[in-house]
Order: sequence, then structure tokens, then C-alpha cells
Amino acid sequence: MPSEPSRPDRAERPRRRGRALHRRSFALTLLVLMLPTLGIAQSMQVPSAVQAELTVKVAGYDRNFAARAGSKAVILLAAMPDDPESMRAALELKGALSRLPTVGDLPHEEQIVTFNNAAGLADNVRARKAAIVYFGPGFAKQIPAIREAFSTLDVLTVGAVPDYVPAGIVLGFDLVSGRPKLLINISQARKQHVAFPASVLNLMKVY
Amino acid sequence: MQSLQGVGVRPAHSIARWLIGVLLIAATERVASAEDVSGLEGMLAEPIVSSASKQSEGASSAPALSMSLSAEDLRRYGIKTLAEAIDFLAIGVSSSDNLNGGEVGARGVLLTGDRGSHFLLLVDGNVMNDPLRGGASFGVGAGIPLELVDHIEIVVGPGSVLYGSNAMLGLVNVVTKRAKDYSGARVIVESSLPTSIRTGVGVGTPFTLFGQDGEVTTQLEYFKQQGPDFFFSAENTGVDRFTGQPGRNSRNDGPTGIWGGRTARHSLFAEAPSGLVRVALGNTELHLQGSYYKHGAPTGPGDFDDPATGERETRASIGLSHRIAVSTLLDLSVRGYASYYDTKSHFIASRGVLCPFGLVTCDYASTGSASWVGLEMQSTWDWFRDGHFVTIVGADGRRRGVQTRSDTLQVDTGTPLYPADRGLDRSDFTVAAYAQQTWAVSQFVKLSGGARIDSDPRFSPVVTPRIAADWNPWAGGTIKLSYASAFRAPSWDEADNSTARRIKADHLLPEKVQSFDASVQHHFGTHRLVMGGFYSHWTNLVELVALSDAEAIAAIRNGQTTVPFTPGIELTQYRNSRDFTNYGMNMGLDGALDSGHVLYGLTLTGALAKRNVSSGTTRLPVAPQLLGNARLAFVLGQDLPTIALATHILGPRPADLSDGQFTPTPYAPTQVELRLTLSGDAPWIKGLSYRAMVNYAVADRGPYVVGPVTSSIPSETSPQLIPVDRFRTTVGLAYAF
Repeated sequence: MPSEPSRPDRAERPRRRGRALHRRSFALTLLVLMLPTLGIAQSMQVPSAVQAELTVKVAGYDRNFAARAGSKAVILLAAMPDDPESMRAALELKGALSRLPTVGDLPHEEQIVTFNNAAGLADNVRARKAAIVYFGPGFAKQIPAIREAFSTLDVLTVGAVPDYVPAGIVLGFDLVSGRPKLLINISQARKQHVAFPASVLNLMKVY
Repeated sequence: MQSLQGVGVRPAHSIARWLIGVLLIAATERVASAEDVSGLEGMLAEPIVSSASKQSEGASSAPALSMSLSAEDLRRYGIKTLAEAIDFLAIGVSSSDNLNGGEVGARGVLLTGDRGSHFLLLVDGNVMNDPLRGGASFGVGAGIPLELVDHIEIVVGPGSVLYGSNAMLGLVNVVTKRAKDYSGARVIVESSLPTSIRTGVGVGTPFTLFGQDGEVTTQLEYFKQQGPDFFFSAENTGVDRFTGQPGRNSRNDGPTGIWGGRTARHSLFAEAPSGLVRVALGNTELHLQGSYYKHGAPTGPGDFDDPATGERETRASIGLSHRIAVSTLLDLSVRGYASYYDTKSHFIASRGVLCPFGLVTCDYASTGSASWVGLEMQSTWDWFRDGHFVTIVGADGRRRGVQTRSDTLQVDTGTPLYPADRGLDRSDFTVAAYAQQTWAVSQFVKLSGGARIDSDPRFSPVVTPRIAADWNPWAGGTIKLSYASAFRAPSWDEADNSTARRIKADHLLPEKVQSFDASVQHHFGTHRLVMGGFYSHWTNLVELVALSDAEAIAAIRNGQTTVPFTPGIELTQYRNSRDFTNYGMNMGLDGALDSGHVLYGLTLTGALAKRNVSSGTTRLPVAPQLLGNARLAFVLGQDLPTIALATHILGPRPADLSDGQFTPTPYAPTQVELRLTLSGDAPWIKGLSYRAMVNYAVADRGPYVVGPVTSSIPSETSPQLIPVDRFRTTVGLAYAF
């Protein structure tokens, strides 16, 4: 069957133009997409509901928790001012904890506190006899100061962001292979009189 | 055939006995524990998923059957591809090896020839289905380095409510590792001896830019496979109706009329370089993926063992997403994305019925390229600021373009044998909007409802709703009920394209599926049990249908193809031709014993998919009615290896050509695949790890008819089924710096 040289050529021209147009629009989109965009704070890995359940469960294993909490476990949820993500994390955890009946077999009460400085928060912990202090996203730069201020306190500090734990928060959460993972800063735990049995520590990543 | 089905049932009894044993061990272990941390272990074993509802949540409370396959399991059980992960680890999902990239199905439905287009494949939330056919590769062609995978989320059942087209059987979301879990550099070498080799290099590192913490993870890899060499029995193609002589089945041989009869040594191959890069900076994430996949298999009806028959696919995709926490009420996210796909295929045929131009060999060359660019915006409204009543509203706009071309060339000279089909050169714009409401009514009850509307200029808008409820009536227990729907837009290729031997479709409608699901889940300590049932109804299924002689003559007369008429010419057309129902049950049990040193899991699914035909109902070809898997691993710890045994089973399946082409209907026997894997860190070199796998398949044939005899002819009344690579050893090393 003889070929028709003129027909493929005519048909090819608009097709080539179309291909070139698509290549250009694709390249332009890549360029636009690759323009730098400023980001904001690191977000937490484990959902609030799971963090709440894990916090409640783990606190029950702390040998000093009952003595620390007294008749009612007070939980302070620290939030950075002007940081919606931090405030939302505190609100979500408050909501999630409110749906759980007890913390370490004790009734509990949650209070959201706005963070001004580490010393002020430490004073707040002493004044309210808080058993647990929770830090949502937005505290990365404050963690060293918090570690220092809390080193003489009897309190379980809990961080939503994995990086908080090696920096000085006692207990934290990570997501590894799609499963929640507990993190612990063991030296800070000792300083803050938090003591977990070996069977629980075996389930944690220890810093 | 009865005996084969009997064989398929027998393992279920064994599994039931094993299941009872595991439950007894688990109960004993719990009682014996001095300091009970099983509850905490159980909480830490609960997968966190986000694909089903675009919200992070426990798998048991997700509004669909969701599972998460961990990176540890992928390594532990010697998993090399997504298809293997599905086969050995997932519930209700299975793949089928056609030696050419494989196919994937779920819960008794596998639509052979669909190129994976009934699953939505995502990597870090970015769609990997190609813009030309909507296809997704789950084999080596996926271009996803498994060492970079953190976990794989699989949602079984219709999932268009938030994702749109293609999520009919479910969706697979591959989540890649963060830099903290992939730090430093590494090199990987792995070989399935002696047929394939895979090498890779990867890097993961954090960085700081503009005062923001960021990280980059990437892995580049190269895969090459040649063989294995399979023997194919001779198929007598008889007298060629075009030449009046025995057919030619090789470009070099004369008219012998014989296809096969020897070992194919040149035409089973694959080559797949690929790379994946993820860069995160604050709440901004950039995702880049590219792959090239060259592959061929000696199974088609063309010339036997011709290495020029095959396909080359090139994929590239980019996604850039940014999330802004506007207030405690509102979260906004925006995602720009683009995807490019290019394919070139060659089909070499000499037989007159396929190449009616005298004593020449035809090269049917098809090319296609397609791309899309789009923008998706999503808002998340947390009305009470505590996560218990959340609305998601989103919109997605996408511009698509496609070009195709189909040529029939003389293989020796490359000159056209007749004018090329016009092919496609089209572009259009699609928009979609979706909304979802979740409501945690109490600690024990959660409701979810949503819908998505997709507008495509080729057909009326499609609405895909989903409603779901889950209830925790007892400690550790969850009951889930859901109704979900999904659709698949016919691809440009199906709806508007034509090739030399395929005429254009006539107003294809989107495929639709509706499904009702119910399940009960219970976790006790680290052990999780799920049992469920489902009923689905599929409509407007798109099929490639062979035209009757009268239809072929009419198509040629009407100019729907430029192929000249020859007696026995085979033309095809995509049509909406099938409705069918699909129902069944599935169960899964997994957990850990001895403080995580012994890991186990098993799943079993029994499902029926029946389509109506004039003579009653028939089964879907290739799709198994019984599928499952089981696994057991011993983590010895320290410098000792992890020893893992995994198996998966597929019940007997009718072959792909089982619509009356052969009597009796050809069936592939029950397939049981066993895999023993040893993995661990080499004790003598820090940073060096290894794994070694031995794989054995019980059955030697799969459910695909190979060769030119695609229906019963006087000289060949029974088909030849595709061979299976029954025994293969794989060894791999990885060194992390």
C-alpha cells in the first residue's frame, strides 16, 4: 500500500505545535511550582486523639504520678500566643482529654495557658500543682529554656513534636512506619521525678 | 475443575486451626504478663492513617477498611514491589502477574487489561496514575524505591469521595520516609539471581533555609531484568486466511504455521531507572518523581520471541503543597501539581491475519503522550476548635492535554504500510469540588459523610457520596458501617482514540460502583482482628470488545479504520458493556507475641463477582474468589537475623479468554506462593545490612492465554496459559554511611 507523504506532514504540523505548547506549559508550571514559598512552624505527627490516649495511658505507669497529682490531675496545655497551630493543638488535646474519664485512675482537669516565658510557666505549674504540662507545636526555640526552668519541678512534660524530646521535654510522640512511637528524655525524666518501669521504657525510644 | 476448587478451600481449615492456636497463645500471654503493658503495646501497634478521610486518625476509626504496611514489614518479608506488598501483607487485595507489569484487583474483582486504572495510586498524596490511560503500575515500573517508603496505606473499597476518578477498587498511598528515618547516605544492590539486578543510592538530610527547618530525602535507582527464559509449547496457527499458506510467526522464519515450540530467550525484559525526591521546608513540601520503564513479554499473539515487541513508558510528576494554619478555626492548604506521561509501543507481527500486506513483517507502532497541570485548594474548618466536628471543603481544577499516534510500518525499513491514523491532539479542563463532615458524637461514636462532584466535558457531572459510622460498643471493639461510591472516567485513549486495529468508541460513559460495607474490629493487646462483609454493584464497565465480522465490515466501510478488509480481520472497540455485582467477606488477624519477637498476620477473603450474560451469570476472568496471605516472623535481635516466612494464596481463576473462546473454560490452578526471608544487620561491618529471599510458587501456570491461539481452532482446541517463575532466589545488600 503506497504511503501518502503530504498527509502525515500536514497532520503533523499542528500536532507538533500542540506538543510544543504542552511542553512549554508543563515547564512553566514546574517553574512556578518551584518558586520558594515560606513555611511556618513544624506540625505534630500523631493526631491529638491518639496523643491524649497515650498520655493518659503512659501517665498511669509513672510511679510518682499519683503522689504528684494528689486527688485530681491538673493538666496544663501550653500554647504560644499568636500561633493558631499551637493554640489549636492545645484546644484539640483539651477536647480529646475531656472525653477520657480518668488519667492514671484520677479525675482530671485541663487548663490552657498562654506561654510568655519558661520561668513564668514554671511558676504556674507550681502554683496550680500541675501533674502534666503539654506543649503543642511552636515551642521549638523555647525548649532549652523550658528544660532549665523545669529541671527542679516534679512534673511530666509532654511534647507534640518529636524534636522536643532530645531538646529537653520528657515525653513525646513520633510517627514511625505509620505507627505512633513514644520518645523519652531519660535524664530530664529523672530530674523531673518521672519514673517509668523498664517494661514501659522498652517500648520507648530513649534519648 | 472441581478438584481444583477443593484444593482452594482446604487451606482455610488449616488457617482456622492456626488462628485458634494463636488466639490461645495470645490469651495465655496476657494472663501470664506480670506488668501488663499489653494495652499500651496495642495502642502503639494501631496504625495511624490519613488517606481515607484526609485527616490523621487511627485505622480502626477511619471511614473505610484501611491498613498500613510498615517499612519494617516490607523489609522483613522480602518485599520488592508494591504488588508484592499487596499480595503478602494486605487484606482483600491481590495482584496477578502477567509478566508485563502485573495487574491488581480487590475483593474478587480484577479487571484484566485495565493497567491498574481501577486503583488510585498516590505517593505522598500525589497522584501517580498516568494522564493518558489513568493506569498505575504496581510492579517495578512504579518507580518507587521501597527503601524510601515509610509505610503504605491501603484503603479498600470505593474512594472517589475525596479523590475523584479511578479509586473504584480502592487507593494506595505510599508515604515516604522523613529525613530523621532516612538520614545519611546509602547504597543498595539487590539481585534476583540471575535474571535481575537493582541498584540504588539514597540521601536524607535536614537543613535550614530562610530561618526555616527543612529536609530533603531522595533515592535514585536502576533496575534491569532479562528473563527468565520460558519454554512455550508449539501452537499451530493453521492456514493463514490471508496468504492461504501456513502462518509466519517470525520475521526470519518461513511459513511454518508454528508459534513457540522453543524457549523464549530475548523478549522477556524490563529496564526501569527511577528517582524520587521530597523536599520539605516548614509547611511547604515539594515532591518530584520520575521513571522510565521499558518492558516486554513473549506472551502476545504476534511474532514469537521478538525483542522489538514491547513498550517504553516515561513518567514525571511534581507536586508542591503548602499549608497555612489561618486560625484555630481554619486551616488552608494549596497544592499545585503536574504530571507527564509518554509511551511508545511496538507490536511485531508477520502472520497475514495480523499483517495483511504480503510477505512482510508489520511493526504496529503506537505513541502517546499526555500531561496535566492542576491546582487543588482545601479548607479545613474545626468548628468547635477541639477536632470533634470538622468540615473539609475543597476544589480541584486541572488542565489536560493528550496526543497519540498510531503507525503501521514495515519492520525492516520503517516505511509506512498505509497511512497513519489521525490519533488524538486534544486538551480540556476539568473541575471538581468536594466536602466532608466528620463528627465525633461521643468517645464511642463517630460519623462521617461527604460527596464530591467531578465535571468532565466528555460526560455529565458525576457525584460520588460516602457516609460512614463507627461505634465502639466495648473496650477495644469497633463496628463500622459505610456506603461509598466511586467512578472512573474513561481515559482519553478509551473514549476518543483509535488505532489501526481499534475503532473509536461511541460516547463512553464513566464506570461507577456503589458499595455497602460492614465490619467488626477488635484489638486485645497487640493483637487485632477484623471481620467484614461487603456488597458492591458495578455499572457501565468499559471493555475492549472484539467486533463481529459484520461490525468490522461496517467499520471499514464507514471509514472508522484505514485497515483494508481481509477475511478474519480482528477489530476492537471500547464499549460500556457490563454491569455486575460483587459481594463477599474478609477477615484479618495480626499481632505480636513475646514482646515483639514473634510477629504474625493472616488474612482471608472470599468474594464473588458475577456478571450477567445471556446464558446466566459468569465469573470475572483472572479474578480470584478466594485470596489471602499469612506471615510469621521471628525477630531474634542483636546481630542475629530476622527469619520470616510469608505466603499468599489465590484460588483457581478463569483465564482472561474465558468468554466462550475455549471449551471447557480454561482455568489457572490455585496458586500458593511461599517466601522465606532472612534479613538483618551484618555483625562485622557497621552500616551494612542484608536480606536474602527464597521464593517458591506451587502452580506453574497463571490465568492468561498466551500466543496467537486466542480461541479454539481446528488445529488448537485448548489454550496455552502463561508460565510462572516458580523458584527464585534474591539477595541484597545495603550500606548506610
